[in-house]
Amino acid sequence: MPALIKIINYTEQPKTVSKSRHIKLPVMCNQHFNPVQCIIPPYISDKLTDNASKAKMPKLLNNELKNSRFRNDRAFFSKLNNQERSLLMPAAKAPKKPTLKMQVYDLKHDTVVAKGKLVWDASGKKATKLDRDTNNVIAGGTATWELYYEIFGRNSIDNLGLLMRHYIHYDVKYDNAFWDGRRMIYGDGDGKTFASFTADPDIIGHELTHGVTQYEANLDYHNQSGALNESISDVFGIMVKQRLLNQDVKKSNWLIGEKVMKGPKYALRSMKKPGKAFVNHPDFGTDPQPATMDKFVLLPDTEDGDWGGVHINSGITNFAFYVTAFNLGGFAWEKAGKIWYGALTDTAALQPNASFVDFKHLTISKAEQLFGPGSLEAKAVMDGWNEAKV
Amino acid sequence: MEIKLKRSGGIIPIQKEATKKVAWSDKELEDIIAAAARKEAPLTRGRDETGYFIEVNDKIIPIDLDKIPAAYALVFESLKKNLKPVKF
Repeated sequence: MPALIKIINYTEQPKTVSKSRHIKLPVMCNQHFNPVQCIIPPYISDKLTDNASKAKMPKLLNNELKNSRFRNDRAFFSKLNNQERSLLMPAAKAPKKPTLKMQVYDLKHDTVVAKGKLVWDASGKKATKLDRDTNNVIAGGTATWELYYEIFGRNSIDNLGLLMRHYIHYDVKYDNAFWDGRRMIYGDGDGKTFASFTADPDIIGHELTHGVTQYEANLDYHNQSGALNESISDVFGIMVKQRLLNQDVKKSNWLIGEKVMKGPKYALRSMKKPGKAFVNHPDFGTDPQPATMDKFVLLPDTEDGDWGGVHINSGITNFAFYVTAFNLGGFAWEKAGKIWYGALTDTAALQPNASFVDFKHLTISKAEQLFGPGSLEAKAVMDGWNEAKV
Repeated sequence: MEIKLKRSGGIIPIQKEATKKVAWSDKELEDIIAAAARKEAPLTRGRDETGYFIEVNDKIIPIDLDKIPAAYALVFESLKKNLKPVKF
């Protein structure tokens, strides 16, 4: 392409063009109509303007050159067909699709996580025979990652592809699961009142969501903001279960931990009927969760007082989400979930010490942003909070 | 004296308790507490975690069971095994 080489030479000799304020770029299309060879391709005009700047060309002339470059680029590309365009512009590499990064460690009843033995790795290493708990956390962890990625476009806990690490068989007959700030840890349960804490995908989704909240609004784990933190984990935990079971809002029983708490009439929590997850249980009595703000339970903000009842008063905001999602119909993650996710990740608006009322206003605002002011969705959110008397 | 081991917290915040009579001197009790007492850490990133406490002489002290002196470990293991939930 000799004509192009000529252009470069042209810019390397600015004195020959400085006499004129009106640069006329060489016409290269006299002999043919092939646009690939007609006008200056962008990689050449980039060089042209670079050289012009380096040569300290007068500003006016330099601007003229740049303007000309943009006009020509636009004209040039508008005339290309796909094949011609691909000749000049190799297709940009498609961004690599995020993949699940997850590991499972067996603690073999120890409480020191450093002693955990790797039994499964999403990237390849897998033990020959996986136990039930390993399979449970693989299924629940994968379903959680997929909900966040496929529905909300989030890549793992930190949205940067963080490796998710699950530690199973913690301690002896330990009846709990928790997020320790870096990883998920699950006990086997006592086998009498509690089954393994890996048994419900909503529990796995609940714990992983504590990680998401930590990387987003990082809601303080005290009083109302702590209850919101807990409730958000239940909200995304229940959606993990519903999606895994293909349940819409009507089909779902809205129970958290229905397999973990043994007995057909019991679960850890009910989002549909807070306070009714277990009634007159022989060991635990009756579910203490309120469904509405007028029944808010005041507890001391101490470790012994559940940090002001974070697992108790979360029933109120759980109920607001349930009512919203139920009234909207379909699958919870389609509308209500997106509204809640938008609120959780709006770290400019959602403060770590947010109250229930703060979150109410934010979710209404998110519904209006996503679906329009006065939309049915915004109204459903308002109705949800009104039903919970917030 | 009677000591009570308590566990609280968790994804469902059940209180569990177990009591036992022990023939410890005040000095022994002080040593156990000095070795195993932990500070409540409200600003940790842990969520749904459980914590242990001993209740003795009307005082509730958060403790780390892994730091109980070896000579008393069996007593606390037995208490831990016998923890019973307190109804809501």
